[in-house]
Amino acid sequence: MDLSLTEEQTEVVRRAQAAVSSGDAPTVPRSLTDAVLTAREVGRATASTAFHHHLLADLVGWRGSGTVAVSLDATEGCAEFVAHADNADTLLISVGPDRVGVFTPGACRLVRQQAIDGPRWRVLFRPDDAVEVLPCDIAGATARAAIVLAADAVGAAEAALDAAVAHVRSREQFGAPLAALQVVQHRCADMLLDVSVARDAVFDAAGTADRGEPEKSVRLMAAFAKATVVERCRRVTASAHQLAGGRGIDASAPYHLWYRRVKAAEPALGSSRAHRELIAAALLGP
Amino acid sequence: MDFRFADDVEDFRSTVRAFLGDVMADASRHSDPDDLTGLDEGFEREVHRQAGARGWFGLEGDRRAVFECEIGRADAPLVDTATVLAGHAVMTFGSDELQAWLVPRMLAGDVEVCIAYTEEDAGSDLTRIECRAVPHADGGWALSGRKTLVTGAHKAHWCLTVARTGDTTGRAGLTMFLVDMHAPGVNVERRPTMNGWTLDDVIFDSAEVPRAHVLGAVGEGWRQMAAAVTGERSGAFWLGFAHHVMDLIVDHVRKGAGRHDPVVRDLVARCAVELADVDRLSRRALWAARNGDERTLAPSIVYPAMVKLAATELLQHLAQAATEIAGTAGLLWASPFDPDPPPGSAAGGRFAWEYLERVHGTISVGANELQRDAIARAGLGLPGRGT
Repeated sequence: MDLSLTEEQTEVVRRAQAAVSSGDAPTVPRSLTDAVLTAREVGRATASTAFHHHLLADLVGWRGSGTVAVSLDATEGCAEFVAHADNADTLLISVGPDRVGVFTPGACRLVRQQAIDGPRWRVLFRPDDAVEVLPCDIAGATARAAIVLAADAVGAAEAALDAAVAHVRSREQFGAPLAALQVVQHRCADMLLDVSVARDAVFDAAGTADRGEPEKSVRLMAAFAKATVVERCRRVTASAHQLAGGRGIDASAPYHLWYRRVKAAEPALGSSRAHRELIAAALLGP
Repeated sequence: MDFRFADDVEDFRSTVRAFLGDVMADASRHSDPDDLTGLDEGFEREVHRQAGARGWFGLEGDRRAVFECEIGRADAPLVDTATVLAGHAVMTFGSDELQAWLVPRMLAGDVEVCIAYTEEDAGSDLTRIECRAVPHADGGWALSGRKTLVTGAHKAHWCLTVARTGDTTGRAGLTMFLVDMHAPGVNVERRPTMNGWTLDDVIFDSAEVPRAHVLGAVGEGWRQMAAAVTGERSGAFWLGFAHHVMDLIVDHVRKGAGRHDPVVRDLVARCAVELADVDRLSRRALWAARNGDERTLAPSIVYPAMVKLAATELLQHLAQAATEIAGTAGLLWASPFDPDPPPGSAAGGRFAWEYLERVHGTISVGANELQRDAIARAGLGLPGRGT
């Protein structure tokens, strides 16, 4: 057992925080644990999700430059719910079981979709228009990206918890701070339990991948991590709203940003139901 | 990060499993539904001596956690041992003489101890203890009062208890004693619980306690009790119980038509995810106790509280899932080692037993409300009651 963060990993966190605070997408690190540490800071700051697309591009073996938008679950000629498609220099879209097509924006038609956390695009394309086709392990890339996306949700939930705790300490109602009420304390305790468990599910899964364990284990661990993280972090961001009260639903208050962000992660890169079915198959057979 | 135990710890787990496989092989010949262990006293004593002879009552850290997880998983009668229940108090507050005599016997599995703190009107609020100890001229004490919800008093040699030695109320004036269960004035009444086995009332009627069996300082019982309760449980037993029930659920579903039912499969996977979470949390607790934590300043308070909370609630979720999946077969009840469970019962009557059994986990060893209080205070710095 070794649950420590190394000096290098602490440095990765510092670099991620610096990039996020200056408005840049952090660079994609080599190990999945480093990617997880980075994504947690991205989520905490509700920064641009461009990092996740660069990570996905890296995972499918794209070595080009410029901005990218990635979809690994496209059906024939159509990719749904793609972020950043409008300002991507390159679109990477799955065109077969283990093949990703490289598309120029001009070769695709984009239809804007208003999603819960900002704009997304339906990308219409013809597989033959790909300028290049990369052979890649889509399931493996999706599992790893799911672990990193889960870390983003953990960061968002941690930020929501911190904000809610600061609020209940300072907000007085009926002559006492909210934090003095046991019902408030117990909600906060459950939130801390949720973020602690969610955080470690992500670290555990990333460690499994980084140690080069069998691919089946990595995918199973990704399923365990993402399934629990989205459920727990969703609960935390909803609780933060409840604790924040009426002012918390102001667009100028940050709570809705965390609430949206975690929800948007829920169906992406494998739904919780799909992940639980993977777990059920491992326990019960197909 | 690597959440796996070191190889030597996993090797130790294999050793414990092999031992338990042998020793528990014919446990159903010793079934006793009246006892919390489900097993008779003679068998329990024998298992204690064998485990004690292997040095397994003096374990620390990861090995202790792995040992406790495996005995929980095997339903072995090794959960409420003298070292688990009273080891911390005896080794921290006992006189050198008392320790020299008692500790080797506890470690060998030769003595059984019960803990009798709470009373009918006290519950989780131990400031309300009313049991009194009156001093004698020779330094000894006479205890009078009724203790309740005591595990295993009917088979214990010694009783760790707390009584009022001063006129004060509340936290002050409490003193910790070790009472010989065979001394005059000590009586035990067994009271059946909702799941068949008995908890005990211990009645002290001017029970004599020699000076040498005062644990720690007179009047310091509250502080000592708080420390002892924290040391009582690692949480790994609950984790072991949960692994066992999960195995039974998987086995039950694999054998039936539910195996192809997507709703059942989803429920089984939900259980597996929550179990994995609690298992990982218990490892984090072990790690943080040794190495600290990035988020909380008091990891040795916060994480054990989280493990207790999460594990006992997990057990209730597993019992609900098991009985829901098994339907009426899941409501047919048998004690764990019953050699003749009802025909047609799921998991040999275990799911129904679990459903009743897991009620008390969220109440005992510090109700989960108290665990949430502790997490809010020690983990997030929120204010305590009355401050």
